Order: sequence, then C-alpha cells, then structure tokens
Amino acid sequence: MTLTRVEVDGIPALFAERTDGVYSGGILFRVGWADENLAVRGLTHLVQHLVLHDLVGDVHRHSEVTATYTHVHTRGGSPEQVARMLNGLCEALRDPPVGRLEVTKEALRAEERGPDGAGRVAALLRYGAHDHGLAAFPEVGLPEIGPGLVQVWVGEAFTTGNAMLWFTGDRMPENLQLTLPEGSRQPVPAASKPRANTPAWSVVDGSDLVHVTAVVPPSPAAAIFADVLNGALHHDLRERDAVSYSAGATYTVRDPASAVIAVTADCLPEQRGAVIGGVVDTLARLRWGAVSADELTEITSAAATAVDEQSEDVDTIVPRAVSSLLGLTFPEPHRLAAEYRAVTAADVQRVAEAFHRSAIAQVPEVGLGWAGWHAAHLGSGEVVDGVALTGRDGHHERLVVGDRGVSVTTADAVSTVLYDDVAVLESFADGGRHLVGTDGVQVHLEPTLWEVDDAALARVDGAVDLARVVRHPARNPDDLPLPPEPVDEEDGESAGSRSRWRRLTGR
Amino acid sequence: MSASMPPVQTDLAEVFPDLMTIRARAQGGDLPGALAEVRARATGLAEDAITVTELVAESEGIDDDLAAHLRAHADDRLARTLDAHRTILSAGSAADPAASTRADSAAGLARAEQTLIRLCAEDPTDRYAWYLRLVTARGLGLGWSESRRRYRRLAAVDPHHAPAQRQILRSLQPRWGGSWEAAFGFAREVSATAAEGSVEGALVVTAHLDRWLAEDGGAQNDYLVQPGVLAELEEASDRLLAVPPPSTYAWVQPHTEIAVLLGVAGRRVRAGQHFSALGPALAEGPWAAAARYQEDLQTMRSSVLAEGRRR
Repeated sequence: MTLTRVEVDGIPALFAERTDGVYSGGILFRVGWADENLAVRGLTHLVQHLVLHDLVGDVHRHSEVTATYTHVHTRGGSPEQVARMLNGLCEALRDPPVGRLEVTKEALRAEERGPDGAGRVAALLRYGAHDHGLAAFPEVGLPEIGPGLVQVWVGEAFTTGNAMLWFTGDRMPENLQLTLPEGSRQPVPAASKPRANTPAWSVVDGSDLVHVTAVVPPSPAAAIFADVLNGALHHDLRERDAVSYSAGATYTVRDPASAVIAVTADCLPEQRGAVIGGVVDTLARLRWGAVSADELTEITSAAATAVDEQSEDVDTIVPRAVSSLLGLTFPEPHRLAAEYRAVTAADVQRVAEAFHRSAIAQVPEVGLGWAGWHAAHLGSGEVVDGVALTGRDGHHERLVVGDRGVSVTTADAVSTVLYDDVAVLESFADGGRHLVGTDGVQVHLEPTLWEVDDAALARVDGAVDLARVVRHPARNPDDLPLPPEPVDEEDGESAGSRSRWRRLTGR
Repeated sequence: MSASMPPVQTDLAEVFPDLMTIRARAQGGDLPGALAEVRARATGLAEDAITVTELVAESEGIDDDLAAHLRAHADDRLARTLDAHRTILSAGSAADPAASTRADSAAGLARAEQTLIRLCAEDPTDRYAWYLRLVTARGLGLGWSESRRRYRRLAAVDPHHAPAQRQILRSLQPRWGGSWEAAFGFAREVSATAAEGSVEGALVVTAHLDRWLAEDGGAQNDYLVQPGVLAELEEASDRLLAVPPPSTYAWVQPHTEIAVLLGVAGRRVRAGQHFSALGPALAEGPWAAAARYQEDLQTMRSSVLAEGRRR
C-alpha cells in the first residue's frame, strides 16, 4: 500500500492509492462527548446532526461521535461524490444552520437510546460525572443549547488545526474547498483519577451480567492479555462450565496512556452465582496460574497473522488517521506482528496484575467482597447542615436542604451534592430539581415525595451556577415519582438495592 | 449409663495409632514432619486424605508453628491450605446463618476463600483446596449454582470425593435454600454409582440422618421406621458390609451413621453388625445426635462387643 501525506486547505490528509475502482474519504475532528461537561451533554452530537442536514440525501455518507472524535466519511461513491460531501460539510461548519436547532434537538431526542447499559455503572464509578464518566448519562444538556453555544463549539473544535482528512482511490478528489476556521489541535481529554478504590464492585440488580473494566497502559502485551482472557472466559464459562452463553473480553486503546479492557459474561438468573465465581476464577488463573506455551503461541500467532494481513489493507487508513488525530502511534503491521510474537507468559501475567489493580466490576448479586474486592461508593457520605424537609405519605428518605448543598439519607447510604460541585441541575417547571455532583452523586428533590417549599427551591436555584442549569417544562403528572409502598421485611433488601441502582444511574 | 457399658472412642487419633503420631508431631514442634505424613496420604482416597488434614487442622496450639513455617516456606501449598482450613474452622461456629457474629464469620471465610482462590488458580487439580471452597461457598452465601460449579471442577479431578459430596448434600438442603427432594436426588445418584463398601455409597444414609435431625431433632423414631426409609437404610447397610472397607480411616463415619439410625429404628441385629465392625470407635456427630437413644444403643454395643471378645 502506498500511503502519501498531503495537505488540503491547511488540513493534514492521508491518501492511500487503490486501483479497484473504489473511492472513499472522510474528515475527523478531535472532539467527542468526553470533551463536553454534563450540562451541555449532547452538544457534539447536535453539531454533527446540524451540519449534516443538507447532506442527508447522500447514501454513501456515514458519521459517528465517539468519546474522543467525530468522524464523517463516505464509503463507495465517486471522487466527485466524496468532494461534494466534504465541501458541503465544511460549508455548513463555516455557517452552521442554527435556524434548524430546535428541529434537530427533536430528532436527537427521538434517536436517543440512552448510553450503553453495561458500561454505565463502571464509567460512573471510575470517573464520576466528568470526561469518560459522561458515558453514564443521556444527552441531558440539549434543552439549553442555543445558537451561541453551537458557534462557540464549532469555532473551538471544528477547525483546520483540529481536523484530519483521509482519502482512498486511484487519485485525490478534485475541486475540494475545505476552508474552516483557524484553530489548534485540542488535547485528548485527560481521564480524571479513578474515584473508586479498585478493584471495586457494585451490585446491579436484575442485570444477569458480569461486566468488568480496567484501564491499563496500551502495549502489545496488554492486547495479547485481552486475547488470552477472551479465549479463557469463552473456554471456562461457556464450553467447560456451561454457565454463560456469551463470555469474552475486548481491548480498546483510548488515548496514549490508556487502553480499556472490558469483560462481559451473561447468564441465566439461576446461574448468577456461578458466573460471578467463574469470572473471578478465570481472572485468578491468568494472575497466578500457568498459561501454557501452546495456548500463548496460538494466540500470539493468530494476532500476528491478523496484523500482518493488514499491511496491504487500504482500509487501515482510518485507524491510521484516528491514531494521528489522537496522538497515538499507529504501529506498523510487520513490527507489531513481531512484538506480538515476542510476548511471554510473564508479560501476560504482569498485565493480569495491572488489570486486577484497576478493575471495576458490575455483578448481578452478592458482590465481590468475598474475593477481596472493595464495595464501590459514590460521594463522601457527609450530610450537609440545613433544613430537613418532611416526607409525604410516610416517605422515609431524609432530605436536607442546606446553605452548601443538599443531602438525601436512606438506611444504607448518604447522597450529597454541594452547590459548588454541581455538574448539572435539571430544573422542572413542576418544582422538581435533579442535581448531579461532579463526583456522580445524584439528589432528586421531588415535591411529590417531600414538602418542598418555595424557600427551599429558591435556596437551591440561587446557589447553583446558571451555566450548570438545564430547564425543562412541567412533567406529565402521571410520570412523577410517588412515595414507595411500604415494603415487607423480606423484600427490604432488594428494595434497598433498587434504590441504590437508582442513585447510581438516576433512573 | 452403667459402668459396664463399653467405652466410646470418638477421637480418631485414639483409634488409629498413626493418626496419633501425626497429631503428636504437629503439636510437639515438628510441624514439617506432620505435614510430610499428611502429604504421604494426600493421594489416596479423598475421604482418608480429608480425615488426616482435618485432624491436623483441628489440632490445638499449632498456629505459631504454622505461621513460622509459612514465613520460611511461603510456597508450601499444603501449609497454605491448612492455614485456610484453620481460618474456616475458627469462622465455622459463626458460619451458622442464625449466628450473631455473622459479619466476623464472613470476614474469616472471605480471608480463607482468597487464599483458596489463588491455590486453585495455581493448581486446578488440588482436591483439598476445592473441597474447602465448597465450605466457603456455602458459608459466604454464594448461591447453589456456584457450589455446583465448584463441585464440578472438583469432580473433574475426583468424581468419588465423598467429603465434597457431603458438602453438596448440605448445600442442597432446605436450611441452605434447597429442598429435601433435591438433597435426596443427589444422594441417591451418588450412592447408586458408588463402589460396595465405600463411604460415598452411604451418602443416602447421611441424607436420612440430616432430615431426621432437621425435622424431628432426633426426638422420636417415627421418621426412621417408615418402610421406605428403612428399606434404603438396609440397602445401604448391605452394601457397606458386602466387602472390607476400602478406606483406612473414613469408614468410621458411615458405619456410625447406619448403626445409630438402624438402632434407633429398632433394627437391633443390623445395628449390631455395624457396632461390631466399629469396635470402640464412633463418629462423634451421629453418635451425639442420637443422645436420647444412647442407653439403648449402648446396650446393643455391649452385647455385640462382648460377643466379639468371646471369639
């Protein structure tokens, strides 16, 4: 494959020649949802939809917003079609069609499926309501995003210096007009320090899933470890123990310092205990057991062969462009293949230790205290001084509205959000106030649950930075929360876990 | 109980001289020597191997020596497993679901479990470590599916691990969230495929003993004299007596269980055959369980043991 570095209207570009008659091309911007804050969550996605509106008829067009980049590209088509799409996109970025803002928001709300359930709890426990922790939240910021904010975001992130182009075909497209505002390459959002004391666990009721993530330095050994783990989980849990239908691990390089290894193992409700135990034992086997030379050689050879085959693959131009944009080194396939082949059992074992030290697990029951992991908690457990509001109809949770923040206390936990530390305050015209702290703790003031008076609302509204407030119209009265029915003693535990889940996820 | 009653020996070390030697070494400052004796018996029948390790694990006053040994030999797998075993035993009384010190017990069991996770990861064929993980799984409330997963891992190494089968039998009982139907289903399945004379062949007897104690507290014999129950006890008795016991030490348990249950049920001749085989030895658990019937059972014992002396 012949790869050429060029520049178009000041934007760096990669061109890979191919002679099979296929033309493709795309533009990447170093901005994604992890660059947002919770009060504007959804902004990048909104900009993407807004500027693509005039190109909806283009059947070859694809686009995505990830944590760290936005990508618009074509697959198939002709050089003219590639040029038309990119020219149209840049034209829209030079003058965003903000008149379509409200219609576009409606479209996004209809599209929203919510963030990926499996990764949500881990993201929140690891990072709180910041950067990569925003994976735990829906696009709550949309209502407050106005034309001014769109202009600011486009001006900062969708610029010549913050973009990267790529093309494949027998020639570069002609007549490209890709002038964008001047700007510089934005640094990749630094993941905040993990909040949970790892390895940590959290019980998510009714999920019938074990999900474990860890963040380790990217390396060939870490990639091979993930392959070994993937094979080991499949063998141990599905083939040998028959306790899970789908068990495996994935490896994703997120930024120059971090690769995310994610374990998923599903189960039937009656196999929950066994699937938890099975995952613990497979992880232990990779830390302390022997990975056989044959097993390792098979995996390193397969990985090496796979990357060797990529050396002539023009489609690797996309990961090459993404790597360049994010400041990652795209490993040359032949060199990477050699590095994979050189990974030893001791290397794999070292990554297994690093995985364990960083792991955050979501389990369907029991927890992992028995295996020596720490129970994950959000927040400090501190209760603010202030006025305790009276619960309605015997609602037991204690709500305190103070000068520094608000706290809700239940039998098993305290949730406190300080006004100075609010990531978002969702304010409903019916009097409801949902506060999320930057640490991820949530407190919901609901007039249907407590006797929330005007003084309490005024105290909260006056104390939170307006830039963190998202206003909503009144909700349908049928959708408002009601005090829980009294629970039987026997059901007390599961009700407690449910409220814990609600606190973790805000739903 | 009259003075002429035959002595009862529930301490296996008093019954088997080599076990006394092992205990004496463990308690007399020669823990490595005791461990060597245990190791020499580790590859035999699981029920004998577990009997020996339990004897050492239950020996009083060995903690300092064991800690010193582990400091010097951190890689001694047997010593590490023994340490986990002792931790389980000290958490054991509190492992009862009704115990007030449940949190302390869980912490002890979790400490032991973490040692055992590593031992099983290092060597997945370690019968002793997997066996102990059946005890921790139940005590820590990890659920029936996890107990079964662990048992299958162990059964892949040793499908006739009688002590593990007893643990599974317990896990399947109503007290731990199971049912008598499930418990007996498992016991009958194991017994049906067991060798004659073997400990595992008498698992169905253990199931009847447990059910009798759970439902009646050992007060009446109504449960045991039911024809179906008696028939199963007698069949187990036939099989246990059919050949000389293959186990060296562990046969004391099934013989005591059958002798006690058949004796309480009024099958005096049958019970006598088992008391005769036992001599002075008795397994403490089933013997103590039939406390209300002990005078009667002692009468049966004294008659068959006197007959034995006459020959």
